[in-house]
Amino acid sequence: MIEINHVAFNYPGSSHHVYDDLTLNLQENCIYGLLGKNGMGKSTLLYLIAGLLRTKGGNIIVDGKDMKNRDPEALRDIFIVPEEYEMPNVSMKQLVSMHKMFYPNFSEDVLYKCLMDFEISRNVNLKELSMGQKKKVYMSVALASGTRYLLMDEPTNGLDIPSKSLFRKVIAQNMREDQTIIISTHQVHDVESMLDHIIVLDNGQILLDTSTVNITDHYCFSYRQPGELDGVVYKESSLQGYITMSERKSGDEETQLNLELLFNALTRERITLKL
Amino acid sequence: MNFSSDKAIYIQMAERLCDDIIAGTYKADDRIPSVREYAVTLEVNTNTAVKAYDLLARNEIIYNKRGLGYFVSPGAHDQILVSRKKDFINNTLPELFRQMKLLHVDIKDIEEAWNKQK
Amino acid sequence: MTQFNRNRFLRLLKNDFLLNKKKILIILGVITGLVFAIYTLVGFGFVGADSIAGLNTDITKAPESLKKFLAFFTHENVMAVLTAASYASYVWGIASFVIMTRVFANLQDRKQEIDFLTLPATNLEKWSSRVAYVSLISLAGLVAHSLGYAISLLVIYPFNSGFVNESLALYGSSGVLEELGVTGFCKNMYLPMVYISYVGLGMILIWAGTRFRRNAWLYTALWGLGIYCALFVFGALGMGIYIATSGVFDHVSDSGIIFTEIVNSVMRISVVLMGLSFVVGLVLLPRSYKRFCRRQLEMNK
Repeated sequence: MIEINHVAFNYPGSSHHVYDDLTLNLQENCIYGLLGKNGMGKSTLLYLIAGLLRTKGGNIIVDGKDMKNRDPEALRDIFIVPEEYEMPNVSMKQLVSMHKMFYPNFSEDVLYKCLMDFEISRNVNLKELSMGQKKKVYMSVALASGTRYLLMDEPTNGLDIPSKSLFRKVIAQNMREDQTIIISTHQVHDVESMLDHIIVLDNGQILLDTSTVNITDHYCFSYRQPGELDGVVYKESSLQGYITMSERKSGDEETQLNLELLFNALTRERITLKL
Repeated sequence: MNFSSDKAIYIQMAERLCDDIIAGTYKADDRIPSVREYAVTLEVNTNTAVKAYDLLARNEIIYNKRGLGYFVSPGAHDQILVSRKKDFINNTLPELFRQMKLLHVDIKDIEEAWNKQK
Repeated sequence: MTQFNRNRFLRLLKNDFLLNKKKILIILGVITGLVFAIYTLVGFGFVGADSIAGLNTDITKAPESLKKFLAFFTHENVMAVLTAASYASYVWGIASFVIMTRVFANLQDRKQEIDFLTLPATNLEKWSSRVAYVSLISLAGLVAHSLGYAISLLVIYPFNSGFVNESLALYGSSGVLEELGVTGFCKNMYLPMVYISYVGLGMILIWAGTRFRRNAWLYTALWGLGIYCALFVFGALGMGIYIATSGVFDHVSDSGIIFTEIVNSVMRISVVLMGLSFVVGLVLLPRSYKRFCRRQLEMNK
């Protein structure tokens, strides 16, 4: 479990407080979506969890260990995939051996399976890869490391459309049941179907922190025509009429979650959800 | 993924999986994709996939081995066949017969068409 | 407190060597090449080594105590060897300076910084692996220096064996010091103190490398220059005032004795400064560790 307790943070030299008093708990065995517009401090939160940044107030405890100490026992359970990645000047084999020793659950089988799913040869020259391919390789290393917590910062940025779908498949196929994945992104649509739990951040505040099940229990997402708009809490125009988010009445069939609409409802019109 | 709007999505997902079992894509005791994999493949929320799998497990079409995933039950193929056949006879046939009466289609016409397409 | 895991420490060290093998070979190659070039150029006479300018080279007329000094320096090849050696020492000196201040240059690239800081190892293992890494490369630089020197001697010998012989005779500074009239304690302690001061300087440079996030060598050099100038100015001033006010040289007319006194004083001050650098280094090194523990990612968003 990741406990974020009353965290305050601002960048050294900057008076802008990214977080003033953030409290959040992340449970295990879940895929979390950390959503928010650009510059809202999502990456900052991930880096705070990974121990790369130090809180100015409050603390972050991962499985009982305070991250400010950067204990190997805590670090062993966390792997972060940053938004941009540069490959070191080594071969694939060397890259593996450089990481393997530090992560006891590292599995080369998982690595090669992921590479195969990503359609990247295991003998590829790391220096010749495109940005998107480098990301895929590093993601494969991340999955192979077998850490309890996998943090991903904008994983679909820079991936072409078929790759985004590949990304979802690779994660779904290769993650273990006891892993927790935290995906921070503003490309809400790319990760919609994967998420179990949604956290929406805006200006250091938590706008939403709930499971997808809870959302689809209480709200419906559907196309409606003008005139059918009772119970609608938020709508956007589209070719087929209005795409709406409305309160779900008991007996109504559950609909699929439209995460983009929900996100817009929260950030543009500050709707408060009754969950 | 296009789902029709007349039936709940999780039911359509379950039926899609049954289609695969009848077709032989997944044989008895084969491992089927995990809940997440299936959700991602059909681009639906994970919890919808969970409901689909729960439905199939309740009907004993699939079973779960902890830590390993979901597998096709040994009798699933026949079971699905039987229940689909029943559904065909109880729901599809009456509608077919109603159409036949309306359009004056004789059973012999049906037989002829059947023999032709064999 | 987690135990220091030697395997992790060694693996971190190995990772660093793996990542930078090309750069390391280039640096060592350059050191060897430059040292070789310097000695060869001087040894073949392409670069002249003048006798001490301005001094009357008629030894017979010089005061007793200076005779030895002048005889030494006007002896054939001594100046040549000393010139070559002093230029060559700049090579390793500068290389070592840059290498040591690059102790955390691996953190300059953001991605590498993320990788390094999140690697499951203790702060101590990470810090000491980098310190060991730059120290080893620096020592390797010394080996490269010796290699360049040795190869150059081999090449020069057929053409100027006097140079080679003199060079080998002067190897190690106690010969030079004797000729200069340095006595007793300083003469015996000088070389060991030089080595100790290298360690001290190394520690100071490691601290500087940790203190400055980017281009540490540049900032350290500027600071070092500033401190050196300040010391020089105050040192010269102080010495001048001391000599003028204490009248220590009033009774002495023999310029030779003054000279020996000055040389000995300079030696003593050097030894003190060298010891000081070691002490300062000892104080700064743990501060470097603490600073590393507090290190954060720099966000430029």
